[in-house]
Amino acid sequence: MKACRVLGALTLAVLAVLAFTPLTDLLEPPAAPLPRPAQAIVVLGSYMGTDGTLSAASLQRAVRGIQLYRRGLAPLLVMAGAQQGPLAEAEVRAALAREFGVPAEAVLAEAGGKTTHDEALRIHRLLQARGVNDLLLVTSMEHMPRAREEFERQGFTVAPAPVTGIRTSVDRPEDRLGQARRWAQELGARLYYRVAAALS
Amino acid sequence: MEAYFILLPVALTSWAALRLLRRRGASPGAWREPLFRTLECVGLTVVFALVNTLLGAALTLLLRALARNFVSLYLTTDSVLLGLSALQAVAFRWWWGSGRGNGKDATESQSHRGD
Repeated sequence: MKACRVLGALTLAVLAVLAFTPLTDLLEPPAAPLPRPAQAIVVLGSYMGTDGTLSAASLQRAVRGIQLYRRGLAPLLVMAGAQQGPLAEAEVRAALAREFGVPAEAVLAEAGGKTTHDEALRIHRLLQARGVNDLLLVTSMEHMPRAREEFERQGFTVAPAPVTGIRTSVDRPEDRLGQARRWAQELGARLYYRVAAALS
Repeated sequence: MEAYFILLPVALTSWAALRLLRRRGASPGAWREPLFRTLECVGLTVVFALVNTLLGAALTLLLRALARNFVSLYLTTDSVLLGLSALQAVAFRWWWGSGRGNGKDATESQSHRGD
C-alpha cells in the first residue's frame, strides 16, 4: 500500500500542476503555415450521431474544407466520415458542401474508413485513379501529426490545413485537464500506429 | 487567477468539516491516517484505470479481429472508466483494510475516534 500512497501523491501533484498552471499551453501544436494550392482538399471524418447530426468537431472540419475550396485552393473536395446508422458522415458533409455552393462534381464522399489508417488507404485508392497526389489535409490540430504520417505513408504530398478559428488556449482547470487528456490520447494513438506499422 | 477561485469553497468546506470533527471530539493529530488512505485510494485508482484501459484496448482489438465489427479504441478512454476505477479502488482499499486487520487498520481507526 505504501507504493500506492506514493503513486497517489504523485498523481495529485501532476493533476494540480496540469489544472492550475499554464503548462498545458506548451502541449499546443505549433501553428501550421498558411494553406497553399493543392490538387485536392481532404477533410477527415470525426463523429456524427445516428440521426445525421454532425458533432462540433465534424462540422468545424467540414466548414474548414468548404472554406478552403471557396478560396480556390483546390478543384476537388473529398469529405470522409463513416456510416452511422442509416447515414454516412461523409454524405452529410458532402450535402452541406453542395448547399454552401460547392459544385456537385467537385465533391467526393468516402464513407468506408473507420480509422485514420483506413481513411488514408481508401482515399489513396479513390484519388489514385484521378492522378491526385498533392493534398491539403483538414483535421484537428491534435490529430494532424498522425493523420499526416498516414497519408504520407500512402505516397501523398501533404500540406496540413488544420481547423483554425477555434479558441484553443484554455484557462479553466477542467479545460486544461481536457487538453492534457486529448494530448495523451493522441500520443497513445501515435504509439499504437507506430507499433502496428512496424509489425505489419 | 480565476482558475484558483474554485479552491476557495473547497478550503472553506474543509475548514468547516475540520471544526465539526474537533467539536465531535476528534483528536487533532488523527488526520494522518485518513490522508494516507485517501492517497492510497488515488494511487489504486490510477492502477485500476491503467489496467482497465489496457485490457479494454486488448479486448477491442480482439473483437475487431474476431467479429470483423468495428469497435472504437476511443471507447476505452471514456471518463466513466475513471469513475468506475475510482469505485473499484475505494472498495479494494476498504476490503484490504478489513481483511488485514481487523488488525491494524481497525485498531487505529478506533483509537483515533474520540467519542
